[in-house]
Amino acid sequence: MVVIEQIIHVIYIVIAGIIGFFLMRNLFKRTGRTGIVYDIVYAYCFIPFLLRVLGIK
Amino acid sequence: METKKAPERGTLRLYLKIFFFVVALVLAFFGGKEFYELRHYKETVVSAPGLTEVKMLSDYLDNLKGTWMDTPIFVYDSGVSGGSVLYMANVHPYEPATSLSAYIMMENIKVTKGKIFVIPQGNRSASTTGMLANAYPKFFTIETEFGGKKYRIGDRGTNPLDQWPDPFTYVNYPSKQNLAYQDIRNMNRTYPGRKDGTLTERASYAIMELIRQEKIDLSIDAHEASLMYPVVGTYVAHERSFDRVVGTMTEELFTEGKDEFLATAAEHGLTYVPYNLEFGSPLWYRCGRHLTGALEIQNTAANLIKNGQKDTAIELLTTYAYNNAEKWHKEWLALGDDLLGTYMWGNKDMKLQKPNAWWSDIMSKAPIKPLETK
Repeated sequence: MVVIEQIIHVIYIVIAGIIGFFLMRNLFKRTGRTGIVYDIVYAYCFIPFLLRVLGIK
Repeated sequence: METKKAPERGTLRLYLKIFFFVVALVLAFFGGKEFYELRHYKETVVSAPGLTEVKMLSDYLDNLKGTWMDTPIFVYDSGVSGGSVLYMANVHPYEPATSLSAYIMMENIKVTKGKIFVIPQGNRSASTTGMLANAYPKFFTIETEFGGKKYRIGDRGTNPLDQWPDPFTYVNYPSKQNLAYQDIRNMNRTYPGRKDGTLTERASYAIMELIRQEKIDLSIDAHEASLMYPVVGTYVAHERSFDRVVGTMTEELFTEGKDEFLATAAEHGLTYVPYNLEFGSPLWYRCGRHLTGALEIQNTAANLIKNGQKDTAIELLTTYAYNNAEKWHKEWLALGDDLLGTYMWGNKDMKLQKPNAWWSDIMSKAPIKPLETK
């Protein structure tokens, strides 16, 4: 149980990293929602995923 | 003459994206700096001379070693035999008066008998994350003679960095009670815990192990509450820890009246009449006391009448009856208040319930009014 929980926790951090990566990629390269406002949204939403991957929040 | 070309629209847009990204990184830096500081800040501990040992919670459960849930336990052992007490604070670290009270206790403690165990950070992981989104401050500072001392204000639940994700519904082990999802990280909901459970369950289990292994007689878990919370300013304890010192209510107990718990209480002088296991308090003896008492009253009255003191005899009987009636009446009123409190305010379930219409109708004529329920 303890090991499984640790594995789930690692998966969660990895998923946070993947989502953060895609948010960053989509900030620079995307086909839909091309307005400037979405640039701000993608950049802003990237923050919590970055902090989580770094183990800060 | 050479002319400068204006940058293309696509290039401008790229610069803008880079600008937004850099702004996000700057915001992440300043925001993250605050969270990092809260996570890694170390509080200063000052102890009175009687500190004999500093243990860790992982001493009672190995798999807590190296986790953010491992927390120091300060032991004050007088060396003289006596009881042992556990004082635990910050099970909910957003209730900071509790950890401060533990620190004050450690600074001033002087143990003359028995042992005292102090845990200032019950849920250490929760103390490393704040309630910044709820606009809570990160720290509070106490001015002392040797300068300001800074303390953390943590969160209610274990830091998600240490335990995540939450389930849709948290099912407490072993009671199987369904609780809110976030309560899986609430150390005050995970007792008695599991040695191979979630991080919070493991911490609860380690606390229980501490209580079992160190033979703790009295365990105090300090909390704070908002003024609108029904249990604010309250001592919450298991009914077995109150003064109802009696074992299982069996038919034999009613007839024979022998109870080892009562005998122990009597040994400590806690009963109002002598009591021992050899004799107990059998039903025949209790009936005999009632009947002998009644007979004695009647005999006394009869003797008074025989001696021509009829008025005195009547007064004796009526005074006895009146005194007892008044006492019984008070007891019934107290019982009524208790039942009223239990039913009307739902104190048993710790939640407000709307009473039935028939009950409201009766209570509208009562001298004391129940709380308004929404």
